[in-house]
Amino acid sequence: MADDVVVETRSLTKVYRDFWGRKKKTALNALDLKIYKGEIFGLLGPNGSGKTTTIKLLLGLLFPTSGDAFVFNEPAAKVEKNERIGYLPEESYLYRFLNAEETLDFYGRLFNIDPDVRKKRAAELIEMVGLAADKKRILKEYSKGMRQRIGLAQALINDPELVILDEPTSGLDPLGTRWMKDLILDLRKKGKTVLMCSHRLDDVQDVCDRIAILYNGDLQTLGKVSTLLEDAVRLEVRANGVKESAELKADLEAVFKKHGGALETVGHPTTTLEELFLKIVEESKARPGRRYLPPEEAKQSAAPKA
Amino acid sequence: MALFGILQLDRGDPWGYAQVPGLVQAWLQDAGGFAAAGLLLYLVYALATPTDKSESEKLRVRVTKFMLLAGSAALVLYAVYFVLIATGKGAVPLPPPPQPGEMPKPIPPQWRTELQPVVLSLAGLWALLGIGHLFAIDLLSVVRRNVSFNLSGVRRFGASLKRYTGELGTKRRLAILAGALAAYGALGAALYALNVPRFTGIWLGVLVVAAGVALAALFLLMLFEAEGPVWAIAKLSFKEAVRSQVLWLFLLVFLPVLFPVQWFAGGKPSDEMRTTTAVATLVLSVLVLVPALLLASFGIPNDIKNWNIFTVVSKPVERFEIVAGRFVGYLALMTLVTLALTGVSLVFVSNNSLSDRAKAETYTARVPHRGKLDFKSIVGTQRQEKKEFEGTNVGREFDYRKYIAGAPISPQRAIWHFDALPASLARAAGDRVPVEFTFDIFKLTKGEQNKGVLTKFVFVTHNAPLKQPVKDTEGGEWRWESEERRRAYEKRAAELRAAGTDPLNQATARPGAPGGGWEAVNKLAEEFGYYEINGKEVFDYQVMGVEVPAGLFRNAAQGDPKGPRFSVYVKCESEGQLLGAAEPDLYLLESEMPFWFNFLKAGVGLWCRLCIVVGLAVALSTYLSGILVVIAVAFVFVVGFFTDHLSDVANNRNAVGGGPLQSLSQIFRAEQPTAPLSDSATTKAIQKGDQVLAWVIRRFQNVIPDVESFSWEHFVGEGFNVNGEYLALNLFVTFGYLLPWFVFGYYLMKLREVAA
Repeated sequence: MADDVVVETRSLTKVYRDFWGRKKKTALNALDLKIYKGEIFGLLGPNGSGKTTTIKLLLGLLFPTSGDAFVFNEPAAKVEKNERIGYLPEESYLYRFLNAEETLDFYGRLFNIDPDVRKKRAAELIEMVGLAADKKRILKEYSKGMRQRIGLAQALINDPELVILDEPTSGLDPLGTRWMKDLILDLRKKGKTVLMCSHRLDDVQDVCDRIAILYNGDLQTLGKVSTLLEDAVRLEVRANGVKESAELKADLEAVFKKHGGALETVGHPTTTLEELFLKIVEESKARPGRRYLPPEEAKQSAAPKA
Repeated sequence: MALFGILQLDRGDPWGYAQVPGLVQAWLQDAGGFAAAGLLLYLVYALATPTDKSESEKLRVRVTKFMLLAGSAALVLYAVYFVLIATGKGAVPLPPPPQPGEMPKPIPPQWRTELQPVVLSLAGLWALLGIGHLFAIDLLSVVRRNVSFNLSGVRRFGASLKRYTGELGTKRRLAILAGALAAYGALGAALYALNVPRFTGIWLGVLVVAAGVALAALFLLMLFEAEGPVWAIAKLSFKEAVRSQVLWLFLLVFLPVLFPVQWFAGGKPSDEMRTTTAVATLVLSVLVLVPALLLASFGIPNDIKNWNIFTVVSKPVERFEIVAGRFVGYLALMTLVTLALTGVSLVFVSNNSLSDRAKAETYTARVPHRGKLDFKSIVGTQRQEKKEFEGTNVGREFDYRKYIAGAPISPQRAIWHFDALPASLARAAGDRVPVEFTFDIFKLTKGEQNKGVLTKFVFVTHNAPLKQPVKDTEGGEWRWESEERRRAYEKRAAELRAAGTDPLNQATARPGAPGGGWEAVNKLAEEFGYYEINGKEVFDYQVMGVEVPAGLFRNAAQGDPKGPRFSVYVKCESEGQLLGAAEPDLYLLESEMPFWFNFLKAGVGLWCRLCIVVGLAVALSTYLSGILVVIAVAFVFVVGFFTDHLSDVANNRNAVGGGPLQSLSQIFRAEQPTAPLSDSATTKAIQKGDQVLAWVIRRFQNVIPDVESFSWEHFVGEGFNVNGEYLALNLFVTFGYLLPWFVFGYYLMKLREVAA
């Protein structure tokens, strides 16, 4: 295995069986995959496609029926490899009777991190995930989003080289989702490798370098996001400072016709709902008391007072 | 005056160091059998798992060369063992069958040197080494990761101490503590002013216990700060249990039961301490063992059910570290609970309204020195039965004691032999050594009302051996072997008598008697190694005592005896009365220890039970669901109280009714258990079935702990010291019992998919 390969699976197969050994379901079928150092890799697929099974096999939570998985050149069953891995499960399965500080202290101790370093890192991570004000509250009292944040903090307590995130944006509001995506991008900047699985395609599209799509346990496609999403048949042209008009449309039709193509649409591009939401929230923060007004009222309030 | 404490050891003496080799051999055979089955299953599973294309599978179902070698060696030795059984060679001789109506005597474990047990032990040893190889490798790595043998551990402890004292000493906490102490202090002052010493004693005792337990808890938490995942998981388990409602709810509901222990106390002073201790121990056991079982049973299963375990197993944590951490955490917490409750029980028992007599007699811990009991009469060849006298069975259903017939010329003696004597006896305070005894009187005639049975005690050392009478016509006396020594003794005794001290007369020859008679008696005893007490009135089933000169023991210490160093001959002189005795019924009182210390020592037995419950629950919880673990452990533990009955069924020792299948068939057929069985094929099949069932129960018997052997409340209640040797054996047996369970738990945890 090359040095820059962080995760490799070789014909990795998992068949779930019942108590009597009868086959129940093939969750993963001969998966061959390589994830390279410093990339953000996304595992995509509908529910039951084998994403989480793959992650559990990589972490040694499940045993392969056949094939093998390696992380940092070590077999997945080897416990020592976990020193360099951070893992955020699909839902934050943390101990609900602990508070944020105790949680990070506990997971830090599992890595045998020196007490002083552990304390410092825990404080930084709590600050980073925005839970400083709630660090003494037990996790039972946390919202789902808060639990996801502290879950991420525990995944980073050992400053891992490989971060495995199972549905990282699950339970997060759009602000939290954006924050999580920024953080994942930030991890890449720091040279970490990220393996995430999600069925929220927009999230994956926003952050992942490469993706693999699984369906019913089989690998359906694998490659760079940009390459996979590229529509080579169509061409997009964007301009600003130009007003939409029939004349413009006619001119453009003529130009595309000259080059052997055809104009499909002319119109204003729309922003994403996420962008709109974030913009409104930012404005609300900047202008306390801002509220929605119906168009008539908005006109009246904008009109100069007599 | 009669004493209260009667220690009845109907299961024989508790096991001591002498039984360790036998216990080890039995362990090798029993645990080895399970190990062999486990090793075989593992090897079949591992070798059937395709590992040629998977490094992960090679790691998971690892098979070492040593395992194969050990497995082969065990297989060969088991084959040899079965050949020996088939040929009947090297077998352990069977104990003589009990006399009709006699209960089988418990046989303490001992190292057997016959070929069959030796081969079986060796086979078990190899099987244990084989199955234990991976466990040992991983355990060593776990120890290396979790135990530091250098100064870093001490430094870490120091840092924890600093941190804990800093964190705990917040203004709010200090204010609460000061407030609580002030309130408690005010309560103490009020009790003092009201002059209620009993309540003041309770007040002070509870304060001491609370402070001790708080300090112990702090110490434990600081220990849990040590490096390594085991301590982290232990601390997690500790916190989880403290923050869960199970423990507190249970204590809150049942703790009040502990308070009115005197409600259960009987009216007789002799029963007060016995009842108080028994009730306190029962309540303590329930309060400690039930929450421990609930906590330990649900720890790992809940982790798996709630998927918390994903975040732990995905860290660099060996799976056995999770098992070990859970065990340590729960055990630590429940040890604190045990300490607290034992302390509180002691405070209440000590401040209970016991009568003065009960307090004087049982609020102590006698340290007895026991001998071996032998019954003798005239030499066996001259007796009608043509065998040595072994004591008379008077036909009582409970044949704990054997009897000697009473008559002035009776040659029958109950003799206690002491092979070794503590040196302290020769230097006993006041030059006197108390000898205490309890005898059962079986009356053939009514006797005199309010009169005891006259008994003669002869105390001799190896320097003054007595001669067994040959014929009935000799007058029943056991005479000196050396006639010359006897004459010399009698001459000296006569001189003493002339000087005013009759060594045979308790009025002049007793400790503290005027005229320094006791000194003279001591000198005589030291010179000749002989002392006797005549006409001692003994009452039925009461602890009584005599005092013998310490000079006897100085004499006994001289020379190198071939037989026992010291012997006590007891003769019943009252016509028509039989005097019954068992081995623990007579002892030399070596010293007395404080009651509180004895009460706390008895807590070690409870702690061993706690270890068994927690260890068993944690080991089983690696595979079973929480509720199944509770049922399984409760079943094993409860059956552990009936090991004697189980042993009878397992060995087909039922005198009437045969085995379980035969009994069942007789119930269905409405037959009397004593009715002779028909010679049909069905009867034969049922009897064969019982034999198979007995074999299965014998295997099952090996996983059942002898829970009763950890119980010391009868020692405490009767005012007898719980010997440190017994407690060491308790700890040894607990370790031996739990070790195979931990190996079992290790494999279950290693082989299971936590996310399946």
